[in-house]
Amino acid sequence: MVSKDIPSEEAGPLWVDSEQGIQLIGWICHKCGQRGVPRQRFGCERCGAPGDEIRETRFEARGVLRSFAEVHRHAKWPVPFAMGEISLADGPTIHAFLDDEVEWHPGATVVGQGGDRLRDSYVVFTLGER
Amino acid sequence: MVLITDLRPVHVVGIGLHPYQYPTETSYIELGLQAVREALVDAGITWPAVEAAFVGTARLGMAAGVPMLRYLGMTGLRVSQVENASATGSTAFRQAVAEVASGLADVAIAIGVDKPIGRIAAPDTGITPISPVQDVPFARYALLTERYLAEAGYTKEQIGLVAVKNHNNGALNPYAQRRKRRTLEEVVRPPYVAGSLNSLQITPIGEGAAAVIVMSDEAMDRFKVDQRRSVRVAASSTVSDQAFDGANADVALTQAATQAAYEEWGGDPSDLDVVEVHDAFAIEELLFVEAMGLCPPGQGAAELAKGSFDIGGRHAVSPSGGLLAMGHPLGPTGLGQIAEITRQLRGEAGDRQQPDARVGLAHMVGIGPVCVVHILQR
Repeated sequence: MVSKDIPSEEAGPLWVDSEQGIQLIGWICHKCGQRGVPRQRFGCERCGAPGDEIRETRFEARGVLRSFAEVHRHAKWPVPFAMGEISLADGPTIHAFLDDEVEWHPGATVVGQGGDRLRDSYVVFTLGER
Repeated sequence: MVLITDLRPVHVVGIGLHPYQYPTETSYIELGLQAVREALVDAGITWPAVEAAFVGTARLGMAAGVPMLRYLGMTGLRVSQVENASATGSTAFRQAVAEVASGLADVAIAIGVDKPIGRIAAPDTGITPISPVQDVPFARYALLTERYLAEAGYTKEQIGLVAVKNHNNGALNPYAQRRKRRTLEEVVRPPYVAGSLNSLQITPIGEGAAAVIVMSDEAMDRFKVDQRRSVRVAASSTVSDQAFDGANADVALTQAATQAAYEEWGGDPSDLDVVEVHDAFAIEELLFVEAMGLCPPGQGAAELAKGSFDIGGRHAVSPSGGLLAMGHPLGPTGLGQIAEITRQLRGEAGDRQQPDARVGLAHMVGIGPVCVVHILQR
C-alpha cells in the first residue's frame, strides 16, 4: 500500500536528477511570472491566473539554510530527524529534510541529494560547497 | 467599505465556558450546553431571547449545532456552523456581532465547542509537499524559533519566559487546561519535541466550550441587562493570506489586522490594557506583541523580562494563560479570549485582574493563514 504522504506516480515527481544536479519541480505563472514549489496546476497565488497559465519549471536544489531543528516526535515518520528552512538560490523558501550526519548552523550552503541519500523519494539536503 | 462599528452598537452581555481539558469521553453536547447555560445566566436572559446562533467547531464535522442546541428547547432560532481553523471561535464571534450590528437580530450567540475527533482538510490539497512534515505545526514553529534565536540574538531562556508567564497565569484560571505554575528551568529543559521546543512551550490538544452573547442597545433595554457589566465591541477585523514575498505571513497578517482594528477603534496600542494573543507556541507571543505595536521591533523579550506583559504590567498579555496554558480546543479558543477580556473589563477576573482594565484586544491566527482581531471597550 502506498501512503498518501509518499509522492506517487499520479502526482508526478518532486524532483529530477539532471546534469546540473538535483532540480526541484515547481511552477511558474506565464501571466505574472510568480514562481513557487512544489508543483501545482491550480492557479497563480499572486495574480489568480487559472491553471492553464501555470507551467512546470525547475529550481536548483541549492540554497542557504535559514534555520534548522531536530524533530523528536512525529506520528508517522521515524525520529529523530533533522529539518531545515532553506532559501533556494532561485527564490522560494522551503522546509525540507536535512542530512542527519551534519552539524548544522544557520547560513550554511545546502544542496539536495539524489540516489540512495533520498529519504524514500523526498530530497534530503546536505552541506554544499561555499 | 462599511465597518461593523459603522452600523449599530453591539455589546457583549453574557459569557460562559466549559473548562478546557484533555480529551475525555464527555459528549460535545454536554460541553457546549454548559457554556451556553452559563452565558445565559451571566446575561440574565433565557434561551428564547436568542434569535441567531453561530456554532464554531473545527473538528466535530457536519451538523454539530442543532443536535446540541435542541436540548435548550427547540425555539426555531437561526443556526449556522462556522469553521476557520484556529480562528473558528473568533470568526463565529464576528458573525454574531455582524448579525446584531446589521439589524438582522437583536440578540445573537457565538458558541465554540470542539473535541479533537475530525480530520483536517488543509493537507489534502492534492499537492505533494517537498517533505512530508513541512506542515507539521511544531516542526514549523521549531524552525521559526531557531531562526528567531539566531537572527534576533535572543536566548532560549528569554523565549521560555513567555511560557513561564502564561503557565503562571493559567494556574489562576479555573477554566484553564493547564493549571500548574512552572519555572524557567521546567519550560526550557529537555526532552524537546523539536529543536529547543519543550512541550510546555506548545499548546496542549484538548476539548472544551465557550459561549458569548451579544446584544443591541434596544435589546439591552428590553431585557434590562446590567449596563455596568456590558462591554462594547469597538473593532472587528479579519484578513487572509496575501502575497507577502517571503515575510512571515502570520506576522504580516497580524500587523494588517491589528492596524485595521486600531483605525476602526480610533485608539492606539499603548492604550490596550489586556491583550489575548494566539500563543500556540511560545515564540509567537514575542513575534505578535511586536507586530501589534505593543513594543518596538526586537524589544519583545526585553519588555517581557521587565514585566511589561505581566498582570499588573503595562499590558497584561494572555492573563487567561493563553493557548499555552488555558489551552486551544480550536472552536472555543477565540471565544474564550472574548470571555477573558470581558471578565477583565468588568473587573471580575479575581486573582488575574489587570488593574483598571478598560480596553482589550483578542487576536487569533489560523491555518490558511487567516487572522482575526477584535477590540472590546468598557
